[in-house]
Amino acid sequence: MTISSNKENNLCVISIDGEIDASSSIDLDSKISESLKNGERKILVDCSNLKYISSAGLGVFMSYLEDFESQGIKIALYNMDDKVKSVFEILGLIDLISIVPSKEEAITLVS
Amino acid sequence: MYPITLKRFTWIISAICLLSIAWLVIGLWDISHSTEAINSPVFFSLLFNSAIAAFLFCAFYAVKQLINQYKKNADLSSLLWHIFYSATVSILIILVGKAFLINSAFRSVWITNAWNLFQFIIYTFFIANCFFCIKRMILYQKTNRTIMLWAVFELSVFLSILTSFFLFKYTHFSFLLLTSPLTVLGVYLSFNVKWVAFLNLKQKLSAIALLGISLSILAILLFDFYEQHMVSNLAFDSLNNVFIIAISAFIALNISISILVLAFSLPTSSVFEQKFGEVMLFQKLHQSIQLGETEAAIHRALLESCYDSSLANGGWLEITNQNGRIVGFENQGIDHIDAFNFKNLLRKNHIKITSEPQYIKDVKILAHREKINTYKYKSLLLLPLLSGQNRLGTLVLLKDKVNAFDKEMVDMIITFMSQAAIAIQNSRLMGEALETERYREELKIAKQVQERLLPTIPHYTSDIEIAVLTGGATDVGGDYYDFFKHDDGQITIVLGDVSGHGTSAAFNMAQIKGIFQSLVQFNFDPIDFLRHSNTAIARCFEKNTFLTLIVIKIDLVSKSIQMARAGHCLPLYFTDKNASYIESKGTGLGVVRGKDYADFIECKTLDYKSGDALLLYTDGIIEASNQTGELFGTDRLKNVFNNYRELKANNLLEKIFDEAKGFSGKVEPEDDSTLLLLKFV
Repeated sequence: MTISSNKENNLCVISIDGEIDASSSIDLDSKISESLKNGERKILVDCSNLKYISSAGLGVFMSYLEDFESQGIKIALYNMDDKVKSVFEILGLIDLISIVPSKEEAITLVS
Repeated sequence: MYPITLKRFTWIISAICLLSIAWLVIGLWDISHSTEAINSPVFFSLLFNSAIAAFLFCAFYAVKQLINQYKKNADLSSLLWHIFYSATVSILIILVGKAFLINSAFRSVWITNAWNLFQFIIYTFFIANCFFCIKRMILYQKTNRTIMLWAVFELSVFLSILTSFFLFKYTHFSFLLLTSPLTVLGVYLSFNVKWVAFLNLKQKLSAIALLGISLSILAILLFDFYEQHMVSNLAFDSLNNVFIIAISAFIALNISISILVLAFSLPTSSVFEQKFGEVMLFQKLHQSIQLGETEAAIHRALLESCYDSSLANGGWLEITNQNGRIVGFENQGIDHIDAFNFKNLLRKNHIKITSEPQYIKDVKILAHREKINTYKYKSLLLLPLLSGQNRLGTLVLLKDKVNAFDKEMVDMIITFMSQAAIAIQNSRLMGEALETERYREELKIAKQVQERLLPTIPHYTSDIEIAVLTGGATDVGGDYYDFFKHDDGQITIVLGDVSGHGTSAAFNMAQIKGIFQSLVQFNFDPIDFLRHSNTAIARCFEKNTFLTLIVIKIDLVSKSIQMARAGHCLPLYFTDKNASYIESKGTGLGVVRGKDYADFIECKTLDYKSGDALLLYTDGIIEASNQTGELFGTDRLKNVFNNYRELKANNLLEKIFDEAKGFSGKVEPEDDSTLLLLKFV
């Protein structure tokens, strides 16, 4: 799993490539915490190449929900595979974290 | 008991010795005072000779016991010194005596004979000491053959004491006949000077000195005897004794050969010592490995062995781990900074560490040598520490002469390195094995705890058949299920899945059981049950841990089911010959903290009738994947259920597992999964 982040205008775009399992969830965690430390307020997550996410990976997103809420940080996940999306749906995370089909919608959402 | 008896025996022997001496003296007195001294009758001769024989036997036996007792574990040095001491003591006594006699005016025949006898006695004790010390030295390295030959030699020599009863002249034919086999044996044993090899250079030099002096003293004493015999008119001929001659000759021969061998081995002594030293280093290195020493100790021992055996003037050993980082450093004869400068020098000259040793005959010819020009080192040897293909480290040795490492040294060092490499590799593997073992033990305990948290399948009523089947990864999982029958007859069933694996999942499971067991007493409906569970879990669990749960409440009287799904997989309900998934809104427990959780869940109610079935499961079965990465999925689960619904509850669950296994093609599922089936009869 490789994870990278780019700055586009005033947005932070995190791209995930591969599967997030117990070991790679640590990398996801450090990437998000790094972005927060850098003072990012608008975060987009490109899930085009995200093939699978385990409960550890979901846990990472969840652990930041309160922080996002309290600090007013906006986050949106886009271009997610249906299978991965259904995992989010069953867990009921759809209502807690924004998942949209395209990048444009994601930009609109966080701006 | 033994030492006391020996002491007593020695005293007896000594007493007999003294008696014999006394007898001899008396005999001499008689002989010298009687005018028929020279033509002594046979009887007196016989008496005299038997006294001598008895004396010799006792004296030698006493010395033998003495040496056996006090020099049991003596090393070569102390034996050599003992020979030296007996020689010097003897000659001193004799010199003192002679000086005394010269001053004495009274020089009668009796005094001359008595003095000769006294000298004889001293000489006997001297050669007895020499004889038994030499015996110890010859038998220093025991072989059966040598021991046997020596036993024969000793026995025959002692038997030769008896010949003094027969008045032979030593030039007589029979005399020679007796002595020749003894001589041959004596000569053979004299050459047995293997003990010389065990001395180092210093010890050899001192041995030559000690033995040389002792031999000279022996010669002086013998010559003195000869002179006395020629000059004076003695009553008895001390030299005319096979025993004494044999022993003296043997001692003289042995000491001479020893001195020669010692002298000739001096030039090669240093090489021999070096080889011996190398063997000792090997032994030391081997020992430090055997004792299961730490890696650092092995590094130290390795560096020392290579350093000493190559007579290096400086050197260091670097140990690297799999990633190439330096994890250990040992140095000798050179400090860190100088070592660092040399490393830089090598790097600047593009000298890389390969799997072969590299030898720079003169570092002063390398480029960029400014920093090391002031150092004394000239030759550099660079060796990798390899274990198979892995490079465990690097050894660098320096000497202050150009081209100072020879092939022999390099070969020896390579041998040391390979031995140490094996030991280091073993030590690391051992460490890994212990880690794995410890981890496995932890998991085993966690699994045992977990198994005890899961309840047995209850049989509450014949109206409902409950079956549970878990198929697990060997890892400790996080699937949890529980049952409760309330006072009003309703039944609550839960099935949950804690995120993650391992010991933390098991511990979280334990917490949920506690929460469930407490809350279930209040007979909450599913929504309230989940709401309170969420509050508790939000406080207990870590921020990144959550739980999915499904809670079912069965009312046996009204034949209805209430269910709420906290982010868990959709339950499969079979009715009217068809199975379908029940959808409902739900979010996992521990996800929503701080908001009202009830907003995120909904409760579904349905009525059941005879023949219906409800299947609850965890996502392990759905996520079983095959070679191409395709998941087993909810559709396949539904189809299998439909096809085999006629089976008995347990068999149906087994069938589902078999199908999933068959689909994935794997013997052991990756994830643990639980199936919980409720059949309404």
